[in-house]
Amino acid sequence: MACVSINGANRLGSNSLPELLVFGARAGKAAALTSLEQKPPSEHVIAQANDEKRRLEEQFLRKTGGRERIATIRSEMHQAVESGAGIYRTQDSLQQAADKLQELRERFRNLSLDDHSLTFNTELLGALELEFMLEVGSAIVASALHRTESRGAHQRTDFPARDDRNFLAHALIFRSPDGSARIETTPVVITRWPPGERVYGVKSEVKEVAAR
Amino acid sequence: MAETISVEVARYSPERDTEPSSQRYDVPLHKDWVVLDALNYIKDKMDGSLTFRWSCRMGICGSCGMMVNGEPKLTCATFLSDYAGDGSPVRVQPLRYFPVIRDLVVEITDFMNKLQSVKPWLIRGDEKAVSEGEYLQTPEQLDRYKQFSMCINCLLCYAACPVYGLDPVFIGPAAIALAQRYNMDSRDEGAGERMDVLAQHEGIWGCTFVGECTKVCPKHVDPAGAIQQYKLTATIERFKSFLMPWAAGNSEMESAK
Amino acid sequence: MAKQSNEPILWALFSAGGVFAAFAIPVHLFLLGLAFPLGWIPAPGYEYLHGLFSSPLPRIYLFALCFLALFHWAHRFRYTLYDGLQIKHLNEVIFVCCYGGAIFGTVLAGYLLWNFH
Repeated sequence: MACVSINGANRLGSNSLPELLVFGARAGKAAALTSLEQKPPSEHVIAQANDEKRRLEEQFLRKTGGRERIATIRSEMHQAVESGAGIYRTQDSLQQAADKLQELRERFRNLSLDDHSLTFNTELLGALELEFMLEVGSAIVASALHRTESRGAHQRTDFPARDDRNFLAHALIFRSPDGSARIETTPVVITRWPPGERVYGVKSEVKEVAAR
Repeated sequence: MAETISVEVARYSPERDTEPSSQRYDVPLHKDWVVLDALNYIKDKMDGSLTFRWSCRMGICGSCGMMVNGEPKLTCATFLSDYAGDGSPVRVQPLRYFPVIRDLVVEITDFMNKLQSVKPWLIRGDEKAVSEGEYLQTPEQLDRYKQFSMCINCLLCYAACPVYGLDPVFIGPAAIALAQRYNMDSRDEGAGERMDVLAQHEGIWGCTFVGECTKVCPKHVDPAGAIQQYKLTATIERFKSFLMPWAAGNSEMESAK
Repeated sequence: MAKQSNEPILWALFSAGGVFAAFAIPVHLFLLGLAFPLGWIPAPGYEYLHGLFSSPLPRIYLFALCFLALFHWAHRFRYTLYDGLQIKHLNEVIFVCCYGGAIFGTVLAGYLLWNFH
Protein backbone atom coordinates (compact mmCIF):
# COMPACT_ATOMS: atom_id res chain seq x y z
CA MET A 1 0.00 0.00 0.00
CA ALA A 2 1.29 3.41 -0.93
CA CYS A 3 1.96 5.59 2.09
CA VAL A 4 3.25 8.98 1.11
CA SER A 5 1.01 10.53 3.78
CA ILE A 6 -0.91 12.93 1.57
CA ASN A 7 -4.19 11.27 2.52
CA GLY A 8 -3.69 11.13 6.28
CA ALA A 9 -5.05 8.02 7.92
CA ASN A 10 -7.08 7.17 4.86
CA ARG A 11 -6.14 3.98 3.11
CA LEU A 12 -8.80 3.62 0.43
CA GLY A 13 -7.70 1.94 -2.77
CA SER A 14 -8.84 4.86 -4.89
CA ASN A 15 -6.52 7.13 -2.95
CA SER A 16 -3.55 4.86 -3.05
CA LEU A 17 -3.87 4.31 -6.79
CA PRO A 18 -3.23 7.92 -7.83
CA GLU A 19 -0.51 8.07 -5.20
CA LEU A 20 1.05 5.06 -6.84
CA LEU A 21 0.74 6.59 -10.30
CA VAL A 22 2.20 9.95 -9.32
CA PHE A 23 4.84 8.96 -6.79
CA GLY A 24 5.54 5.63 -8.43
CA ALA A 25 6.38 7.38 -11.69
CA ARG A 26 8.61 9.86 -9.86
CA ALA A 27 10.31 7.09 -7.90
CA GLY A 28 10.86 5.11 -11.11
CA LYS A 29 12.45 8.04 -12.90
CA ALA A 30 14.63 8.86 -9.90
CA ALA A 31 15.73 5.24 -9.60
CA ALA A 32 16.63 5.11 -13.29
CA LEU A 33 18.68 8.30 -13.01
CA THR A 34 20.41 7.08 -9.85
CA SER A 35 21.28 3.78 -11.47
CA LEU A 36 22.93 5.62 -14.36
CA GLU A 37 25.17 7.48 -11.92
CA GLN A 38 26.05 4.38 -9.92
CA LYS A 39 29.55 3.02 -9.94
CA PRO A 40 29.91 -0.78 -10.07
CA PRO A 41 28.97 -2.30 -6.72
CA SER A 42 31.64 -2.30 -4.04
CA GLU A 43 33.17 -5.48 -2.60
CA HIS A 44 30.95 -5.11 0.45
CA VAL A 45 27.80 -5.05 -1.61
CA ILE A 46 28.94 -8.07 -3.59
CA ALA A 47 29.79 -9.91 -0.38
CA GLN A 48 26.35 -9.06 0.98
CA ALA A 49 24.71 -10.33 -2.18
CA ASN A 50 26.70 -13.55 -1.94
CA ASP A 51 25.57 -14.00 1.66
CA GLU A 52 21.97 -13.65 0.57
CA LYS A 53 22.50 -16.09 -2.27
CA ARG A 54 23.94 -18.59 0.19
CA ARG A 55 20.98 -18.05 2.52
CA LEU A 56 18.51 -18.72 -0.30
CA GLU A 57 20.32 -21.89 -1.24
CA GLU A 58 20.58 -23.19 2.31
CA GLN A 59 17.15 -22.18 3.49
CA PHE A 60 15.17 -23.04 0.37
CA LEU A 61 16.85 -24.46 -2.71
CA ARG A 62 19.05 -27.17 -1.22
CA LYS A 63 17.04 -27.76 1.93
CA THR A 64 15.24 -31.07 2.31
CA GLY A 65 13.14 -32.56 5.08
CA GLY A 66 11.04 -29.53 6.05
CA ARG A 67 7.41 -30.32 6.68
CA GLU A 68 5.55 -27.05 6.09
CA ARG A 69 4.01 -25.99 2.77
CA ILE A 70 3.77 -22.39 1.59
CA ALA A 71 0.02 -22.57 0.99
CA THR A 72 -0.76 -23.82 4.51
CA ILE A 73 1.15 -21.03 6.24
CA ARG A 74 -0.15 -18.45 3.79
CA SER A 75 -3.82 -19.28 4.34
CA GLU A 76 -3.37 -19.42 8.13
CA MET A 77 -1.73 -16.00 7.92
CA HIS A 78 -4.63 -14.62 5.85
CA GLN A 79 -7.08 -15.98 8.39
CA ALA A 80 -5.15 -14.62 11.39
CA VAL A 81 -4.69 -11.09 10.04
CA GLU A 82 -8.20 -10.86 8.62
CA SER A 83 -9.88 -11.84 11.87
CA GLY A 84 -7.42 -10.16 14.24
CA ALA A 85 -6.50 -6.94 12.44
CA GLY A 86 -9.40 -6.53 10.02
CA ILE A 87 -11.97 -3.75 10.03
CA TYR A 88 -12.66 -3.76 13.79
CA ARG A 89 -9.82 -4.47 16.17
CA THR A 90 -9.43 -5.04 19.91
CA GLN A 91 -6.53 -5.67 22.23
CA ASP A 92 -7.53 -9.36 22.35
CA SER A 93 -7.99 -9.88 18.61
CA LEU A 94 -4.72 -8.13 17.86
CA GLN A 95 -2.85 -10.08 20.51
CA GLN A 96 -4.18 -13.34 19.07
CA ALA A 97 -3.06 -12.30 15.60
CA ALA A 98 0.36 -11.33 16.95
CA ASP A 99 0.77 -14.71 18.65
CA LYS A 100 -0.38 -16.59 15.58
CA LEU A 101 2.00 -14.65 13.32
CA GLN A 102 4.84 -15.39 15.72
CA GLU A 103 3.98 -19.08 15.53
CA LEU A 104 3.81 -18.94 11.72
CA ARG A 105 7.18 -17.20 11.52
CA GLU A 106 8.67 -20.04 13.50
CA ARG A 107 6.94 -22.65 11.37
CA PHE A 108 8.18 -20.85 8.25
CA ARG A 109 11.70 -21.99 9.15
CA ASN A 110 10.49 -25.54 8.67
CA LEU A 111 9.31 -24.78 5.13
CA SER A 112 10.10 -27.26 2.40
CA LEU A 113 10.04 -26.52 -1.34
CA ASP A 114 9.26 -29.06 -4.06
CA ASP A 115 11.05 -26.89 -6.58
CA HIS A 116 14.86 -26.84 -6.44
CA SER A 117 15.31 -25.50 -9.94
CA LEU A 118 17.12 -22.29 -10.85
CA THR A 119 14.89 -21.69 -13.88
CA PHE A 120 11.81 -19.52 -13.30
CA ASN A 121 11.33 -20.85 -9.79
CA THR A 122 7.97 -19.39 -8.80
CA GLU A 123 7.82 -21.46 -5.64
CA LEU A 124 10.96 -19.77 -4.31
CA LEU A 125 9.37 -16.44 -5.18
CA GLY A 126 6.24 -17.51 -3.29
CA ALA A 127 8.35 -18.40 -0.24
CA LEU A 128 10.10 -15.03 -0.25
CA GLU A 129 6.79 -13.23 -0.67
CA LEU A 130 5.36 -15.18 2.25
CA GLU A 131 8.37 -14.33 4.40
CA PHE A 132 7.88 -10.62 3.65
CA MET A 133 4.14 -10.79 4.22
CA LEU A 134 4.64 -12.43 7.61
CA GLU A 135 6.98 -9.63 8.53
CA VAL A 136 4.74 -6.85 7.23
CA GLY A 137 1.73 -8.48 8.89
CA SER A 138 3.58 -8.57 12.22
CA ALA A 139 4.48 -4.89 11.81
CA ILE A 140 0.85 -3.96 11.07
CA VAL A 141 -0.39 -5.87 14.09
CA ALA A 142 2.32 -4.42 16.37
CA SER A 143 1.53 -0.84 15.38
CA ALA A 144 -2.23 -1.49 15.73
CA LEU A 145 -1.64 -2.83 19.23
CA HIS A 146 0.42 0.22 20.08
CA ARG A 147 -2.18 2.67 18.75
CA THR A 148 -4.82 2.67 21.52
CA GLU A 149 -7.23 4.96 19.68
CA SER A 150 -9.40 4.89 16.51
CA ARG A 151 -8.35 6.85 13.44
CA GLY A 152 -9.21 6.48 9.73
CA ALA A 153 -9.19 2.85 8.80
CA HIS A 154 -7.85 1.81 12.20
CA GLN A 155 -10.98 1.14 14.30
CA ARG A 156 -10.37 -0.13 17.82
CA THR A 157 -13.71 -1.04 19.42
CA ASP A 158 -11.99 -0.90 22.82
CA PHE A 159 -10.70 2.64 22.08
CA PRO A 160 -13.38 4.21 19.82
CA ALA A 161 -12.23 7.84 20.14
CA ARG A 162 -9.45 9.61 18.30
CA ASP A 163 -6.59 10.65 20.57
CA ASP A 164 -4.62 13.49 18.96
CA ARG A 165 -2.63 14.17 22.11
CA ASN A 166 -0.86 10.82 21.99
CA PHE A 167 -1.36 9.57 18.47
CA LEU A 168 -1.34 12.40 15.93
CA ALA A 169 1.82 10.70 14.74
CA HIS A 170 3.25 8.32 12.17
CA ALA A 171 4.32 4.97 13.58
CA LEU A 172 7.79 3.85 12.53
CA ILE A 173 8.56 0.18 13.01
CA PHE A 174 12.10 -1.05 13.45
CA ARG A 175 13.23 -4.64 13.57
CA SER A 176 15.11 -5.46 16.75
CA PRO A 177 18.00 -7.91 16.52
CA ASP A 178 15.72 -10.65 17.90
CA GLY A 179 13.21 -10.06 15.10
CA SER A 180 10.59 -8.34 17.24
CA ALA A 181 9.17 -4.94 16.35
CA ARG A 182 10.22 -1.73 18.08
CA ILE A 183 7.91 1.24 17.58
CA GLU A 184 8.83 4.89 17.45
CA THR A 185 6.68 7.79 16.37
CA THR A 186 7.23 10.94 14.41
CA PRO A 187 4.77 13.86 14.51
CA VAL A 188 2.36 14.58 11.66
CA VAL A 189 2.83 17.90 9.89
CA ILE A 190 -0.60 19.43 9.25
CA THR A 191 -0.59 21.60 6.14
CA ARG A 192 -4.16 22.47 5.09
CA TRP A 193 -6.74 20.15 6.58
CA PRO A 194 -6.61 19.20 10.26
CA PRO A 195 -8.09 15.79 11.07
CA GLY A 196 -11.84 15.86 11.66
CA GLU A 197 -14.41 13.47 12.98
CA ARG A 198 -15.46 10.73 10.58
CA VAL A 199 -19.25 10.74 10.42
CA TYR A 200 -21.80 9.51 7.94
CA GLY A 201 -25.47 10.14 7.11
CA VAL A 202 -27.41 12.83 8.98
CA LYS A 203 -24.46 13.63 11.20
CA SER A 204 -22.29 14.48 8.21
CA GLU A 205 -24.92 16.94 6.95
CA VAL A 206 -25.05 18.58 10.37
CA LYS A 207 -21.28 18.83 10.31
CA GLU A 208 -21.31 20.44 6.88
CA VAL A 209 -23.88 23.03 7.94
CA ALA A 210 -21.85 23.79 11.08
CA ALA A 211 -18.74 24.25 8.98
CA ARG A 212 -20.50 26.91 6.89
CA MET B 1 -15.86 -37.41 -1.82
CA ALA B 2 -16.23 -34.49 -4.15
CA GLU B 3 -16.20 -34.97 -7.89
CA THR B 4 -12.78 -34.70 -9.50
CA ILE B 5 -11.43 -33.87 -12.92
CA SER B 6 -8.12 -34.84 -14.49
CA VAL B 7 -5.84 -32.09 -15.66
CA GLU B 8 -3.02 -33.01 -17.99
CA VAL B 9 -0.32 -30.38 -17.78
CA ALA B 10 2.70 -29.92 -20.03
CA ARG B 11 5.96 -30.17 -18.10
CA TYR B 12 9.40 -29.09 -19.20
CA SER B 13 12.48 -28.15 -17.26
CA PRO B 14 15.55 -27.15 -19.25
CA GLU B 15 17.79 -28.41 -16.45
CA ARG B 16 16.29 -31.88 -16.42
CA ASP B 17 14.52 -32.63 -19.69
CA THR B 18 15.51 -32.85 -23.32
CA GLU B 19 11.89 -32.64 -24.44
CA PRO B 20 8.53 -31.75 -22.91
CA SER B 21 6.30 -34.33 -21.33
CA SER B 22 2.92 -34.21 -19.67
CA GLN B 23 1.75 -34.99 -16.17
CA ARG B 24 -1.74 -35.82 -14.98
CA TYR B 25 -3.26 -34.53 -11.75
CA ASP B 26 -6.73 -35.18 -10.35
CA VAL B 27 -8.22 -32.05 -8.80
CA PRO B 28 -11.62 -31.35 -7.22
CA LEU B 29 -14.22 -30.19 -9.70
CA HIS B 30 -16.00 -27.19 -8.25
CA LYS B 31 -18.65 -25.50 -10.30
CA ASP B 32 -17.03 -22.09 -9.93
CA TRP B 33 -13.45 -23.19 -10.57
CA VAL B 34 -11.50 -22.01 -13.57
CA VAL B 35 -8.47 -23.75 -15.05
CA LEU B 36 -6.20 -21.38 -13.14
CA ASP B 37 -7.81 -22.50 -9.86
CA ALA B 38 -6.91 -26.07 -10.76
CA LEU B 39 -3.30 -25.08 -11.47
CA ASN B 40 -3.07 -23.20 -8.18
CA TYR B 41 -4.59 -26.17 -6.36
CA ILE B 42 -1.92 -28.40 -7.86
CA LYS B 43 0.84 -25.96 -6.95
CA ASP B 44 -0.45 -25.44 -3.40
CA LYS B 45 -1.32 -28.99 -2.44
CA MET B 46 0.25 -31.47 -4.82
CA ASP B 47 3.32 -30.25 -6.65
CA GLY B 48 4.98 -26.93 -5.84
CA SER B 49 7.31 -27.27 -8.81
CA LEU B 50 4.56 -26.75 -11.40
CA THR B 51 5.43 -23.43 -13.00
CA PHE B 52 3.04 -20.95 -14.64
CA ARG B 53 2.42 -17.21 -14.80
CA TRP B 54 -0.62 -15.60 -13.25
CA SER B 55 -1.50 -12.52 -11.31
CA CYS B 56 -4.88 -10.82 -11.12
CA ARG B 57 -7.36 -13.73 -11.63
CA MET B 58 -9.80 -11.31 -13.28
CA GLY B 59 -8.86 -10.95 -16.92
CA ILE B 60 -6.94 -7.72 -16.56
CA CYS B 61 -3.25 -8.57 -16.21
CA GLY B 62 -3.02 -10.81 -19.27
CA SER B 63 -0.42 -13.15 -17.79
CA CYS B 64 -2.28 -16.47 -17.54
CA GLY B 65 -2.77 -17.22 -21.24
CA MET B 66 -2.24 -20.91 -22.08
CA MET B 67 -3.49 -23.52 -24.51
CA VAL B 68 -6.49 -25.32 -23.05
CA ASN B 69 -7.42 -28.39 -25.08
CA GLY B 70 -5.52 -26.87 -27.97
CA GLU B 71 -7.14 -23.44 -27.90
CA PRO B 72 -5.55 -20.23 -26.65
CA LYS B 73 -7.39 -19.20 -23.48
CA LEU B 74 -7.06 -16.98 -20.44
CA THR B 75 -7.03 -19.69 -17.78
CA CYS B 76 -8.62 -17.34 -15.26
CA ALA B 77 -11.71 -17.06 -17.46
CA THR B 78 -12.02 -20.67 -18.61
CA PHE B 79 -14.27 -22.83 -16.46
CA LEU B 80 -13.23 -26.39 -15.64
CA SER B 81 -16.83 -27.52 -15.73
CA ASP B 82 -16.98 -26.72 -19.46
CA TYR B 83 -14.51 -29.54 -19.99
CA ALA B 84 -16.05 -32.04 -17.57
CA GLY B 85 -18.40 -34.81 -18.50
CA ASP B 86 -16.68 -36.83 -21.18
CA GLY B 87 -14.09 -38.26 -18.77
CA SER B 88 -11.11 -37.09 -20.80
CA PRO B 89 -8.57 -34.85 -19.07
CA VAL B 90 -8.28 -31.10 -19.64
CA ARG B 91 -5.02 -30.53 -21.48
CA VAL B 92 -3.10 -27.42 -20.42
CA GLN B 93 -0.09 -26.44 -22.51
CA PRO B 94 2.08 -23.35 -22.93
CA LEU B 95 1.00 -20.78 -25.53
CA ARG B 96 1.69 -22.05 -29.04
CA TYR B 97 4.44 -20.57 -31.26
CA PHE B 98 6.50 -19.20 -28.33
CA PRO B 99 9.67 -20.78 -26.97
CA VAL B 100 9.06 -22.46 -23.61
CA ILE B 101 11.13 -21.39 -20.62
CA ARG B 102 9.65 -23.92 -18.26
CA ASP B 103 6.41 -25.91 -17.92
CA LEU B 104 3.71 -23.38 -18.93
CA VAL B 105 5.90 -20.28 -19.00
CA VAL B 106 6.85 -18.92 -22.43
CA GLU B 107 9.54 -16.51 -23.57
CA ILE B 108 7.86 -13.25 -24.69
CA THR B 109 10.84 -11.00 -25.43
CA ASP B 110 10.06 -11.19 -29.15
CA PHE B 111 6.64 -9.66 -28.54
CA MET B 112 7.98 -7.04 -26.13
CA ASN B 113 10.44 -5.86 -28.78
CA LYS B 114 7.75 -5.77 -31.45
CA LEU B 115 5.39 -3.90 -29.16
CA GLN B 116 8.03 -1.29 -28.46
CA SER B 117 8.84 -0.95 -32.16
CA VAL B 118 5.34 0.44 -32.90
CA LYS B 119 5.77 3.15 -30.23
CA PRO B 120 2.57 2.47 -28.29
CA TRP B 121 2.43 5.81 -26.53
CA LEU B 122 1.20 9.32 -27.34
CA ILE B 123 3.63 11.09 -29.61
CA ARG B 124 3.36 14.89 -29.84
CA GLY B 125 5.05 17.37 -32.09
CA ASP B 126 5.32 19.82 -29.22
CA GLU B 127 4.41 18.91 -25.69
CA LYS B 128 2.06 21.35 -24.01
CA ALA B 129 3.27 22.70 -20.70
CA VAL B 130 1.46 21.23 -17.70
CA SER B 131 0.15 24.70 -16.87
CA GLU B 132 -1.70 24.80 -20.22
CA GLY B 133 -3.93 21.98 -19.07
CA GLU B 134 -5.03 18.66 -20.49
CA TYR B 135 -5.34 17.49 -24.08
CA LEU B 136 -9.10 17.37 -24.41
CA GLN B 137 -11.02 14.70 -26.26
CA THR B 138 -14.70 14.24 -27.07
CA PRO B 139 -16.53 10.96 -26.36
CA GLU B 140 -16.77 10.42 -30.14
CA GLN B 141 -12.99 10.79 -30.46
CA LEU B 142 -12.53 8.31 -27.65
CA ASP B 143 -14.87 5.81 -29.30
CA ARG B 144 -12.68 5.72 -32.40
CA TYR B 145 -9.85 3.89 -30.64
CA LYS B 146 -11.36 2.69 -27.37
CA GLN B 147 -11.88 -0.88 -28.52
CA PHE B 148 -8.16 -1.25 -29.32
CA SER B 149 -7.18 0.16 -25.93
CA MET B 150 -8.80 -2.83 -24.21
CA CYS B 151 -5.86 -5.06 -25.23
CA ILE B 152 -4.15 -6.65 -22.22
CA ASN B 153 -1.12 -8.09 -24.08
CA CYS B 154 -2.13 -11.65 -23.18
CA LEU B 155 -0.73 -12.95 -26.51
CA LEU B 156 -3.63 -15.30 -27.20
CA CYS B 157 -3.85 -13.68 -30.66
CA TYR B 158 -0.25 -14.62 -31.42
CA ALA B 159 -0.90 -18.21 -30.36
CA ALA B 160 -3.93 -18.20 -32.67
CA CYS B 161 -2.20 -16.64 -35.69
CA PRO B 162 -0.95 -19.21 -38.24
CA VAL B 163 1.03 -16.51 -40.02
CA TYR B 164 3.03 -15.78 -36.85
CA GLY B 165 3.48 -19.52 -36.40
CA LEU B 166 4.95 -19.91 -39.88
CA ASP B 167 6.94 -16.71 -39.96
CA PRO B 168 7.92 -15.23 -36.59
CA VAL B 169 9.17 -11.99 -38.17
CA PHE B 170 5.51 -10.98 -38.63
CA ILE B 171 4.88 -8.17 -36.19
CA GLY B 172 1.59 -9.74 -35.15
CA PRO B 173 -2.00 -8.84 -34.23
CA ALA B 174 -1.70 -7.17 -30.82
CA ALA B 175 1.22 -4.92 -31.79
CA ILE B 176 -0.71 -3.66 -34.84
CA ALA B 177 -3.94 -3.21 -32.89
CA LEU B 178 -2.05 -1.22 -30.26
CA ALA B 179 -0.38 0.89 -32.93
CA GLN B 180 -3.86 1.67 -34.25
CA ARG B 181 -4.97 2.49 -30.71
CA TYR B 182 -2.55 5.44 -30.82
CA ASN B 183 -2.90 6.20 -34.54
CA MET B 184 -6.62 6.74 -34.04
CA ASP B 185 -6.19 8.84 -30.90
CA SER B 186 -6.96 12.51 -31.54
CA ARG B 187 -4.18 13.53 -29.14
CA ASP B 188 -1.51 11.60 -31.02
CA GLU B 189 0.72 12.91 -33.80
CA GLY B 190 2.92 9.86 -34.33
CA ALA B 191 1.15 8.02 -37.15
CA GLY B 192 3.90 8.87 -39.61
CA GLU B 193 6.60 7.45 -37.34
CA ARG B 194 4.65 4.26 -36.80
CA MET B 195 4.09 3.81 -40.51
CA ASP B 196 7.80 3.11 -41.02
CA VAL B 197 7.36 -0.08 -39.00
CA LEU B 198 3.80 -1.03 -39.88
CA ALA B 199 3.93 -0.56 -43.64
CA GLN B 200 6.89 -2.91 -44.06
CA HIS B 201 6.43 -6.40 -45.33
CA GLU B 202 6.87 -7.78 -41.79
CA GLY B 203 4.21 -5.33 -40.64
CA ILE B 204 0.64 -5.45 -41.85
CA TRP B 205 1.43 -7.09 -45.21
CA GLY B 206 2.27 -10.39 -43.59
CA CYS B 207 -1.36 -10.77 -42.54
CA THR B 208 -3.52 -12.95 -44.79
CA PHE B 209 -6.71 -12.15 -42.90
CA VAL B 210 -7.24 -15.52 -41.26
CA GLY B 211 -9.18 -13.73 -38.53
CA GLU B 212 -8.38 -16.15 -35.68
CA CYS B 213 -6.82 -13.30 -33.65
CA THR B 214 -10.16 -11.57 -33.36
CA LYS B 215 -11.94 -14.81 -32.59
CA VAL B 216 -9.77 -15.71 -29.58
CA CYS B 217 -9.42 -12.21 -28.08
CA PRO B 218 -10.79 -12.31 -24.52
CA LYS B 219 -11.28 -8.53 -24.46
CA HIS B 220 -13.20 -8.31 -27.76
CA VAL B 221 -10.52 -6.28 -29.47
CA ASP B 222 -10.59 -6.73 -33.24
CA PRO B 223 -6.95 -6.97 -34.34
CA ALA B 224 -7.91 -8.42 -37.72
CA GLY B 225 -10.08 -5.36 -38.30
CA ALA B 226 -7.26 -3.05 -37.21
CA ILE B 227 -4.93 -4.67 -39.71
CA GLN B 228 -7.39 -4.42 -42.61
CA GLN B 229 -8.09 -0.82 -41.68
CA TYR B 230 -4.39 -0.09 -41.69
CA LYS B 231 -3.83 -1.86 -45.00
CA LEU B 232 -6.25 0.59 -46.58
CA THR B 233 -4.56 3.55 -44.88
CA ALA B 234 -1.10 2.40 -45.99
CA THR B 235 -2.32 1.79 -49.53
CA ILE B 236 -3.85 5.24 -49.80
CA GLU B 237 -0.61 6.73 -48.42
CA ARG B 238 1.40 4.75 -50.93
CA PHE B 239 -0.66 5.96 -53.88
CA LYS B 240 -0.52 9.48 -52.54
CA SER B 241 3.25 9.44 -52.20
CA PHE B 242 3.37 8.16 -55.79
CA LEU B 243 0.97 10.71 -57.23
CA MET B 244 1.69 13.67 -54.95
CA PRO B 245 5.13 13.16 -53.40
CA TRP B 246 4.99 16.63 -51.85
CA ALA B 247 1.87 15.82 -49.80
CA ALA B 248 2.96 12.44 -48.45
CA GLY B 249 2.99 12.12 -44.71
CA ASN B 250 0.38 11.45 -42.17
CA SER B 251 -2.38 13.65 -43.53
CA GLU B 252 -4.57 10.59 -44.20
CA MET B 253 -4.02 9.31 -40.68
CA GLU B 254 -4.81 12.69 -39.19
CA SER B 255 -7.99 13.16 -41.18
CA ALA B 256 -9.17 9.69 -40.08
CA LYS B 257 -9.55 11.03 -36.57
CA MET C 1 9.49 6.44 -44.99
CA ALA C 2 11.36 3.13 -44.99
CA LYS C 3 11.64 0.88 -48.02
CA GLN C 4 8.61 1.19 -50.30
CA SER C 5 6.82 -2.10 -50.54
CA ASN C 6 4.89 -3.14 -53.68
CA GLU C 7 2.43 -4.86 -51.43
CA PRO C 8 0.00 -1.91 -51.23
CA ILE C 9 -0.49 -1.98 -55.01
CA LEU C 10 -1.00 -5.75 -55.11
CA TRP C 11 -3.28 -5.56 -52.09
CA ALA C 12 -5.31 -2.74 -53.66
CA LEU C 13 -5.87 -4.90 -56.78
CA PHE C 14 -6.67 -7.87 -54.57
CA SER C 15 -9.19 -5.87 -52.57
CA ALA C 16 -10.79 -4.25 -55.57
CA GLY C 17 -11.02 -7.64 -57.29
CA GLY C 18 -12.58 -9.22 -54.22
CA VAL C 19 -15.19 -6.52 -53.87
CA PHE C 20 -15.97 -6.36 -57.60
CA ALA C 21 -16.19 -10.13 -57.98
CA ALA C 22 -18.30 -10.49 -54.86
CA PHE C 23 -20.87 -8.08 -56.26
CA ALA C 24 -20.79 -8.95 -59.96
CA ILE C 25 -20.24 -12.69 -60.20
CA PRO C 26 -23.33 -13.74 -58.20
CA VAL C 27 -25.41 -11.64 -60.59
CA HIS C 28 -23.84 -13.39 -63.60
CA LEU C 29 -24.30 -16.79 -61.99
CA PHE C 30 -27.91 -16.07 -61.17
CA LEU C 31 -28.77 -14.83 -64.67
CA LEU C 32 -26.79 -17.29 -66.75
CA GLY C 33 -26.99 -20.30 -64.42
CA LEU C 34 -30.54 -20.11 -63.11
CA ALA C 35 -32.81 -17.37 -64.40
CA PHE C 36 -32.24 -17.80 -68.17
CA PRO C 37 -32.06 -21.63 -68.36
CA LEU C 38 -35.07 -22.07 -66.09
CA GLY C 39 -37.03 -19.48 -67.95
CA TRP C 40 -37.63 -17.19 -64.96
CA ILE C 41 -36.53 -14.33 -67.13
CA PRO C 42 -36.79 -14.58 -70.93
CA ALA C 43 -33.27 -15.15 -72.26
CA PRO C 44 -31.97 -12.42 -74.56
CA GLY C 45 -31.26 -13.54 -78.08
CA TYR C 46 -27.90 -13.61 -79.84
CA GLU C 47 -28.65 -10.50 -81.82
CA TYR C 48 -29.44 -8.53 -78.69
CA LEU C 49 -26.25 -9.58 -76.89
CA HIS C 50 -24.14 -9.01 -79.97
CA GLY C 51 -25.56 -5.55 -80.21
CA LEU C 52 -24.96 -4.92 -76.54
CA PHE C 53 -21.27 -5.82 -76.72
CA SER C 54 -20.70 -3.78 -79.82
CA SER C 55 -20.70 -0.69 -77.66
CA PRO C 56 -17.56 -0.11 -75.57
CA LEU C 57 -18.99 0.20 -72.04
CA PRO C 58 -20.08 -3.43 -71.52
CA ARG C 59 -16.74 -4.56 -72.91
CA ILE C 60 -14.87 -2.30 -70.50
CA TYR C 61 -16.99 -3.76 -67.74
CA LEU C 62 -16.08 -7.34 -68.73
CA PHE C 63 -12.43 -6.41 -69.06
CA ALA C 64 -12.37 -4.85 -65.57
CA LEU C 65 -14.07 -7.91 -64.12
CA CYS C 66 -11.53 -10.27 -65.67
CA PHE C 67 -8.56 -8.05 -64.80
CA LEU C 68 -9.48 -7.48 -61.14
CA ALA C 69 -10.75 -10.98 -60.46
CA LEU C 70 -7.54 -12.44 -61.89
CA PHE C 71 -5.40 -10.24 -59.66
CA HIS C 72 -7.56 -11.19 -56.72
CA TRP C 73 -6.91 -14.83 -57.57
CA ALA C 74 -3.18 -14.26 -58.04
CA HIS C 75 -2.75 -12.62 -54.63
CA ARG C 76 -4.83 -15.17 -52.74
CA PHE C 77 -3.24 -18.10 -54.55
CA ARG C 78 0.25 -16.75 -53.89
CA TYR C 79 -0.39 -16.69 -50.12
CA THR C 80 -2.16 -20.05 -50.22
CA LEU C 81 0.99 -21.53 -51.75
CA TYR C 82 3.22 -19.73 -49.20
CA ASP C 83 1.29 -20.74 -46.12
CA GLY C 84 -0.80 -23.72 -47.21
CA LEU C 85 1.97 -25.67 -48.89
CA GLN C 86 4.68 -23.85 -46.92
CA ILE C 87 6.86 -23.23 -49.95
CA LYS C 88 7.72 -19.61 -49.30
CA HIS C 89 11.33 -20.32 -50.26
CA LEU C 90 10.08 -20.55 -53.88
CA ASN C 91 8.94 -16.95 -53.53
CA GLU C 92 10.27 -15.68 -56.89
CA VAL C 93 8.79 -18.53 -58.93
CA ILE C 94 5.42 -18.27 -57.18
CA PHE C 95 5.35 -14.50 -57.58
CA VAL C 96 6.06 -14.69 -61.31
CA CYS C 97 3.58 -17.55 -61.90
CA CYS C 98 0.72 -15.95 -59.98
CA TYR C 99 0.95 -12.34 -61.16
CA GLY C 100 2.32 -13.47 -64.53
CA GLY C 101 -0.76 -15.66 -64.90
CA ALA C 102 -2.98 -12.75 -63.98
CA ILE C 103 -1.24 -10.46 -66.49
CA PHE C 104 -1.48 -13.14 -69.18
CA GLY C 105 -5.19 -13.62 -68.50
CA THR C 106 -5.75 -9.87 -68.51
CA VAL C 107 -3.95 -9.43 -71.83
CA LEU C 108 -5.88 -12.34 -73.33
CA ALA C 109 -9.20 -10.89 -72.14
CA GLY C 110 -8.20 -7.52 -73.52
CA TYR C 111 -7.22 -9.05 -76.88
CA LEU C 112 -10.50 -10.97 -77.21
CA LEU C 113 -12.66 -8.05 -76.18
CA TRP C 114 -10.77 -5.60 -78.41
CA ASN C 115 -11.22 -7.83 -81.43
CA PHE C 116 -14.88 -8.50 -80.79
CA HIS C 117 -16.99 -7.93 -83.85
